[in-house]
Amino acid sequence: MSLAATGGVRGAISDAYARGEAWVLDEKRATYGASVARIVMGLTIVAFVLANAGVVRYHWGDASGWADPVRATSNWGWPFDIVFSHTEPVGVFLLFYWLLGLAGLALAAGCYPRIAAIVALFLYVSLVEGNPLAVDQTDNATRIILFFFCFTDMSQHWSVDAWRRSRPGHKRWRDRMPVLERLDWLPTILHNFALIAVALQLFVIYTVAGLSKVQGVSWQNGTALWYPLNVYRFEPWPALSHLLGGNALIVMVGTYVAVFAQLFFALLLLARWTRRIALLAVLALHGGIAIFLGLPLFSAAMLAADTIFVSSTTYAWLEAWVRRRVQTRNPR
Amino acid sequence: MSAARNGSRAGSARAGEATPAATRSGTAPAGRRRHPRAARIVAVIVALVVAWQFVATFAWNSSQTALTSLITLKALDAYMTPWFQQNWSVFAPDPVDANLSFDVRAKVSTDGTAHETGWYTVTDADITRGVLHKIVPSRDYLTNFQLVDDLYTAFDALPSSAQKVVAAQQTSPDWVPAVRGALVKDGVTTADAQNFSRYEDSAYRLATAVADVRWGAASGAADARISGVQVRLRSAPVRPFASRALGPSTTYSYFVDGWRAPLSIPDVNLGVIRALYGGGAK
Repeated sequence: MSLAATGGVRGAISDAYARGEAWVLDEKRATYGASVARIVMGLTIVAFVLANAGVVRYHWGDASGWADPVRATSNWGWPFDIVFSHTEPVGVFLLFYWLLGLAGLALAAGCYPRIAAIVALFLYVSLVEGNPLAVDQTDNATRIILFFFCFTDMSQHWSVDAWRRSRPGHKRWRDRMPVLERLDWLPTILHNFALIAVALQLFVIYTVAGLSKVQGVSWQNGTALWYPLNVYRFEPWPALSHLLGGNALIVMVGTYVAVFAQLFFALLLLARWTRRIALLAVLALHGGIAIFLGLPLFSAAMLAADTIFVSSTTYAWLEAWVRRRVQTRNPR
Repeated sequence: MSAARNGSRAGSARAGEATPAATRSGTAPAGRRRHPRAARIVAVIVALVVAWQFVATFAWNSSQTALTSLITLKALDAYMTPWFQQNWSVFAPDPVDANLSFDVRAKVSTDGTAHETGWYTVTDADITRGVLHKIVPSRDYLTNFQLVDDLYTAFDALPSSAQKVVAAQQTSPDWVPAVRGALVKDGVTTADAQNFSRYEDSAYRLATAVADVRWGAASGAADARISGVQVRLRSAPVRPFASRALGPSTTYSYFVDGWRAPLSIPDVNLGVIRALYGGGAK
């Protein structure tokens, strides 16, 4: 529909509105991205549960009563104090803890992923917010991003649910309720707007993180990376950290890549070829944070969200490529 | 499912092109109206919710800009906390540039003879156990360091005259409100005194537990008794990049809190503390 045909500015606006409406209503977008996000988020929660299994009672459980005076500052409370409490029997506490791991596993596998996501989200938030000293931006990122994904359809690809639906004779519970069939535009709307909400939240995260860095002298002069590389609690591999920190060029390049990747993330997404730069840059950023700063769970939560910006074409190509490889290896 | 839906969608779109616009109600351009009216209305409502979410998140994250004055801060707070609270000034404006440590020592009496232990660094155990050579470090990288950071900050907020109050020895088991009261009497604001007291209380509960499992009755020495504990916080700055050739910095600033009577800690499982910080712990 050309501008002339519909008449000037008004036509352009109504045309844009119609295109936006079609984007939101026609079909679920980025279903591959949502499925990959599901897998990454699920594995993140499983890794969290396994990594903290030996110390969970110290940070949040029956050995964490020492933090009681600080707990008074918490602005959480009901309903997040229902399941986890450091004064409940430790068996009950650990039961819910392992249930969190199980929910993460179900999410990764795509077995009733929406239910798994809601259960995992509630248990995760209830657990970590039980000690205000034991929470950081990892938890804010995980909570907010997983919350938005609860509104998306994460089951369409690479999931137990998709496999179950593809089997002959499978009947969806929705098909038995014609009322819900007529409302099938509602999940589509929620899915697509949840993706938009994830995108907007990411823009805020990266832009604010970038803007707050450019105010610092060490980010300006290209030496910022040096400091966390020499802080022991962010140094799981000291030899590697010293190797990196010892090279002035690597420190400078790493510092500037970190700033620019965050500052320009949203803008770089606008064009197809710069989008690839943006995604590779944040992949490098989060990969670096995961390995060199020992914050893989923060990185994973962020990358889970970033997956929605990779096009379904790319994922489908990847899927076909893997399928071909598997088939050549195991010829029937 | 998606193939079937795509098919019917394409069909209805083609039908839309062929149908004269006059048969439609509403003002939308021809060929566009194929979604139920309810869906279109709900889409607008959800769009407004998402737009508000974005504006609120943006405003919350730019607390010092003109935008926040446009929205009542209280309303913004009510909406954003606790669920959407966030702070993305991470490693910024300058990244973390100091190694913090939490040290504990105790006065132990055995068979009537008292002695003072050396300093034990709780946070070194955290790094060795939870961070070093771990692909996925545990929360050990965070909790005790956050306590050090918060207590240090609360201490720094006190006027220098009040720092003498803090350094004084306290032998009564009820010393927490006593120190808080003494700080207020010295001219510290109630909020600052309360804030310091809260973190000091937590630090000494932890110190009591650690002292007990290392040197007290919980260490296996049945007749050992902890009569006093002391906490020291250290902050060792990373040497600036320009002078990195000089090697790791050896200087640090520190804050030594006063000797305190051990606190009652009913909700701290000493078995767990012993496994993490006891003499036999890794």
